[in-house]
Amino acid sequence: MIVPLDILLFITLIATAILALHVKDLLAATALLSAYSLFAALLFAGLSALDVALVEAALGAGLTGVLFIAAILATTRHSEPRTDPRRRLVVIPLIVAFVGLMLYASTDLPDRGDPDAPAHTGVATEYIERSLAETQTPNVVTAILADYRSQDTLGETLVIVTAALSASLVLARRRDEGEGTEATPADGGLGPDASDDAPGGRDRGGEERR
Amino acid sequence: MTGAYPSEVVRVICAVASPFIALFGLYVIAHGHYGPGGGFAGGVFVAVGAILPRLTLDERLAYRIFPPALGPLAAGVGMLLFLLVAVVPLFVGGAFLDYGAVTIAGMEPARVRYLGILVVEIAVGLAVFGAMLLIFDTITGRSER
Amino acid sequence: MIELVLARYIYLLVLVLLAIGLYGMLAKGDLVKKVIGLTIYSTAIYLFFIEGSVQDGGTAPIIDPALGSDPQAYVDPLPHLLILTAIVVGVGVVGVALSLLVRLYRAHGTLDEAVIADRLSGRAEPVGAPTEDTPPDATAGDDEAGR
Repeated sequence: MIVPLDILLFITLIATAILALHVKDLLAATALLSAYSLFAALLFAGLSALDVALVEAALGAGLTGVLFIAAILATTRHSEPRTDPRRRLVVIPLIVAFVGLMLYASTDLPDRGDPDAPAHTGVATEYIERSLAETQTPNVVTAILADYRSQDTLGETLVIVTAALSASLVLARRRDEGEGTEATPADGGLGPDASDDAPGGRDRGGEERR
Repeated sequence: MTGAYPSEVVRVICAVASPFIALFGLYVIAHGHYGPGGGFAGGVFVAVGAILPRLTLDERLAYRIFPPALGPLAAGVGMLLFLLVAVVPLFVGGAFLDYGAVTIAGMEPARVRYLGILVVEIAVGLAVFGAMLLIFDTITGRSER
Repeated sequence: MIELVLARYIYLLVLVLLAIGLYGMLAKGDLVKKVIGLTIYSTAIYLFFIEGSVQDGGTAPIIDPALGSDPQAYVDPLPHLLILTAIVVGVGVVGVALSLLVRLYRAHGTLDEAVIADRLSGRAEPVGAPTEDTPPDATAGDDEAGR
C-alpha cells in the first residue's frame, strides 16, 4: 500500500482506459483493455487482496481478452468513428452530474485504512476470529466463501452457468442454415427459463430443441 | 482463430505448457484452504489449460483431449455436486448448507466443515471450468463438434 | 490539507475511471466499445470496494500462526468475497454480451449502433439477413417472423 505506487498505478489505469476507448482498431483496444485489467490486478495485489488479484489477472487480463479477440475476429476489426456530436452534448452533462453526485456522497465515506470504519467493526471481525477454530481453514476468504456465506456462492455459480448456457443458446446454429453443424448442444439440464442475461435467446430455445 | 499456429516454436511451447497450467489449476483448487485461490481461480486456470491447445495446436488433437461437450457437462456436474452437498445436512436435521450438522464418526465438527469447504471448492471449480470452456467454444463457433 | 488529500484521493481516482467507463458505454457508437466501457466501469467498482477493505497495518487475510486471530492484523475479508463473485459474474456478462454482438453482426453486417437501430426500426434496408425479408420456405418448417 505504498502511496506513490498506488497513484502511479491509478494514473496508468486512467491512461489505458482512455486509450482503450479512443483507438480505432478494435484488436488494439482489446490489448489495452487487458493491460488495464493487469494493472488493476497489480493494484489489488498491492492492497493485500490476493485472491482477488489472482482471479482478476486470470479472468480480466487473460480470458476476457481472449473472448474479445474471438468475437472481434468473428465480426469486424475496425470501428467506424461515428460519435454523434449531439449525443456527446447530452452525455457529458450527464456524466458531470453523476460525478458531482458521487463526490458529494463520498464526503460521508470513511477515510482510507481507518480501523474504526463501519465496514471493519461488524461481522468481519467475528469471521476472522472464529474461522480457524470452527473450520480449520487458514484462508479466511475461502472459509467465508464456502462456509459462512455459501448461499451467495451457490447463487453465483448458478449465474455463471446460466450465463454460459445463455451465450450458447444465443449463438446456436439452426439446422437449415446449411453450415453443416447441428442445432444447440447446450442442454446442461438447466433449460432456457433460468436465463438472466440473454432475453433474446429464450424465444428460440423451443425451436431448436427437437 | 483456432487451429494450428503457423510457428513451430509457439506450438511446441504451448503443447508443453498446457498440462502444467491445468495442473496448476488443480493445485490452486486443492490448496484453497491454505493460500490464495480456491475454486474460482483454479477453475479458470484449468479452463485456460483447455483453451490454449484450441488456440495453438492442431484442431483434431485439441478437440479430442477436451471435447466441446465437456463444457456443459462439467458445468452441470459441478452445479449438481454443490446442490447435493447443500442438501445433505437437511437429511440429518440441520439447516440448508450447514455442514457442521452432519456428524461423521471420528471427526469433530470443524473437520466436517473443512471437508465440506473442500467439496464446495471442487464443485465450484468444475462449474467455472465448464462455464468458461462453453463460453469460449460458443464464441469461436465450435460448440457442436 | 495534505492529510485530507491522502485519505480521500482514492475516491476521486475511482470516480475518474467510472466517468470514463460511463462515457464509453453511453457516447460511443460502436457496440464493442460499449462492452469495453462496461468492463472499465466494472473493474473501477471492484477497485472501489477493495480500497474500502484496506486497513492500516493489515496483511492478507490468511491466518498466520505468528499473528494469531487478531482482527486488527488483517485486512477486511468480506469485500474480497463480494468482488471475487463479481469478477466471475462480470466475465459471464461479457461472454453473453459478445455472443449477442456476434449474432447481431451475422444478422446486420455491422456493429454500428445507429445503423442497427435504424434497421430494427424499419427505416433502412436489412442486408444479408435471412430474417425479415425472406418469405418462409416450403422446405423449412419454421416461421422466421416470430423472432
